[in-house]
Amino acid sequence: MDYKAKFLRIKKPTLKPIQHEESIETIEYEPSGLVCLSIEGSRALYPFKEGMKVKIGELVSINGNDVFLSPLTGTLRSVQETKGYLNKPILNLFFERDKSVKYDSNISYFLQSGKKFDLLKTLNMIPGMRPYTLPQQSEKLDAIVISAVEEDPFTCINGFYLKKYQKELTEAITFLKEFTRRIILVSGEREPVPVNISGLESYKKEFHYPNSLPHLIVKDVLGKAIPMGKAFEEYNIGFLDLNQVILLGQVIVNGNLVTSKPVYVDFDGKVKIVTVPFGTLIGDILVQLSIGRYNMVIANGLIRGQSIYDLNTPVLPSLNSIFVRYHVLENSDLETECINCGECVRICPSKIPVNLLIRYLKNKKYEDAMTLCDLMACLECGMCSFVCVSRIPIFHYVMLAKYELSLMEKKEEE
Amino acid sequence: MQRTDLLLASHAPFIHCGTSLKERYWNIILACLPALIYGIVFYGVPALGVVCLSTGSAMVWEALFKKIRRQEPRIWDGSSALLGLLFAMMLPATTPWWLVLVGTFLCVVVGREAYGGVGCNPVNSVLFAFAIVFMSWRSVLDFTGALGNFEVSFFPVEPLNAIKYMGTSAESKYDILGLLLGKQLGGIGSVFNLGLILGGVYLAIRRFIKWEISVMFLISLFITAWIFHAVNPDKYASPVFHLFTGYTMLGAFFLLTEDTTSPVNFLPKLLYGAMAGVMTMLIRNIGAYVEGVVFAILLSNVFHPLIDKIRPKSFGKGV
Repeated sequence: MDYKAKFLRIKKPTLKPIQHEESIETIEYEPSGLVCLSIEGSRALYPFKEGMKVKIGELVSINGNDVFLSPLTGTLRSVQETKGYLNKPILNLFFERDKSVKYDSNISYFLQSGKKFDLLKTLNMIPGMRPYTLPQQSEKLDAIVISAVEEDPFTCINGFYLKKYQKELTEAITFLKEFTRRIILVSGEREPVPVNISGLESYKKEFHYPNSLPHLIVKDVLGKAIPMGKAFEEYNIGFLDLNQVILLGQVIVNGNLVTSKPVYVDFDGKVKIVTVPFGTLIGDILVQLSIGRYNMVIANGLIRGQSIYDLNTPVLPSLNSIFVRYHVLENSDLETECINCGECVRICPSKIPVNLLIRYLKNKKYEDAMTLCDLMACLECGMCSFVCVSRIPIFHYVMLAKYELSLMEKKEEE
Repeated sequence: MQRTDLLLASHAPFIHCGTSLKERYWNIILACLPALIYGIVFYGVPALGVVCLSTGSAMVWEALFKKIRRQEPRIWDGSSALLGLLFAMMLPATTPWWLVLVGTFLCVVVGREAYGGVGCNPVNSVLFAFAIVFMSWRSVLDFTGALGNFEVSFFPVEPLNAIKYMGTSAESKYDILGLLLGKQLGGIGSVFNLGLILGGVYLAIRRFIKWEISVMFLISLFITAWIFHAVNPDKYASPVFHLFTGYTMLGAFFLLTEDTTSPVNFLPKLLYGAMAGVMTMLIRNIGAYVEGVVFAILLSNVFHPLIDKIRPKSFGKGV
């Protein structure tokens, strides 16, 4: 995809989503060795014992508190403490998978008894799950927006989902219909959208990044601008991405928890979709695909993604894509002071004074940044860093500031 | 299988549109060239000497200062070269070497590096240096006197001087087309208006300058000059005359639009340009100085952070 600045720069740059002319090769892969689940927390908080056995769909609890819902059957072999994005403490639990697949009755009970909220709440407990945020209330939501638009313009997996999981999609939409008056499936112009689902509205449009972000999609579809930092539910709207909806559909169709997911793997532009069980180590996938020379692995897209420094990172429900590169450090050029050129202000979808904001953030004045420069209004699209002439990692500064502020808030509450 | 090999980690986003400071500054230098080459061809070797000395010394000053501060030299990104070049473009071809050296020192070291380097200068450092040099050695920088030895085919008096001291009757001695094509006395790179406009348009369509500022500056300068002219045509020159004389075009496209010292939001950009335009005409017509662009821009620079507070409401605040 050509994303470099044009010779004439009169038009505002946007990123057109990538499209593959030929269908992407898909393979299924079942790893043989250890698998892993990573959860946020420390060993002190969750003292797991080695030798612990888990079943698919089992709610694993410690000291009476539910910690996670296991998407695999296996025995805990080792626990590793590590650091994740923004230095958050992460606990990696390495399991040896059992040959025989055992299910816990948990999920099927909720399905049979029709306890839909409990089902969604339980599914939210899968490690790395993007939560279903439908509120439990008697009144129906105004609308649920399901986004089949790729959030990241370099990923192309939703077409695969829509083609392969039609039945699951239908089931999930029938399930969700009870919560809402309208249900809208938003998709790109070329995506194969099933038309025969009753009650489903289809909204087709080519969304260029950053318009493919949840807040901007909702604004486009429903005409409502929802402030960042406020939940969609407060405005009586539900927002789900296709990934979540298909997972729900699979659970309904299978009658139990689903155990694998497709992942989009891009190695220097060579693309494959690999269906792997949850917990598969990314290193194993790369070996299976015989990807040779690389020193950088990026999860979930080239714009908002996170670089993975440890090949033992597992595939969890929130992982959509992996980008494998050899030294793509394009932003490694010397960072200089902001020259106030205004490109970031021009491109910012939420109209933040980025040029002022970055001056506060560089000097760690996070509270001033929040009150004077609308830090919290940031949609986290990363376009400011993409166009920055001085190559300042503005997006990273913003994410760090938001995290630091959340820590401060926690401290004050205590 | 557990693996121990670690990978490179970096921050998002992992792509960049490819623009850089280097590209920006070398392109601005490129845009200066038409006007500059005209000046060098017209005034000959002395002009070439001033330009080379100014550009070179600006780069040397930066390198030296970076060395003293034990920082990585960044002279090849062209920022200092651009400052030196713009400074030379404002000078007469006969400027003595010591004045050029003092000027570039003030420009690069005092005006910019002392504040922290590229992007940290509070006012346009070229104009900062020029203002000091101009106030200190006014006789050296008097175009009519300095360039008196050159044999020219047109009226050998600097146009704004002529207007100020001879009244509008002097206006008839120049023709507008001649002024546009550089037939006037002035700085090495500031007389060839057509070249400056071409450079400015190039920079605007490639977005290396904020075009709103330039356009608004020219419009407001024109309107203010027109009002003065309408009130007293004997004393004040016509607006078109003001557009093509002095540093108007150089200021509009290369000095006023300097990134660091100009606002970024749309309305502030217009206000900033308008302010500089009105101020220029006030200084030219009422003030003591013949040329108003330098001080008008310096004044507007000081106001820019305040003007830039006018900005649209953020999306996240629920617009």
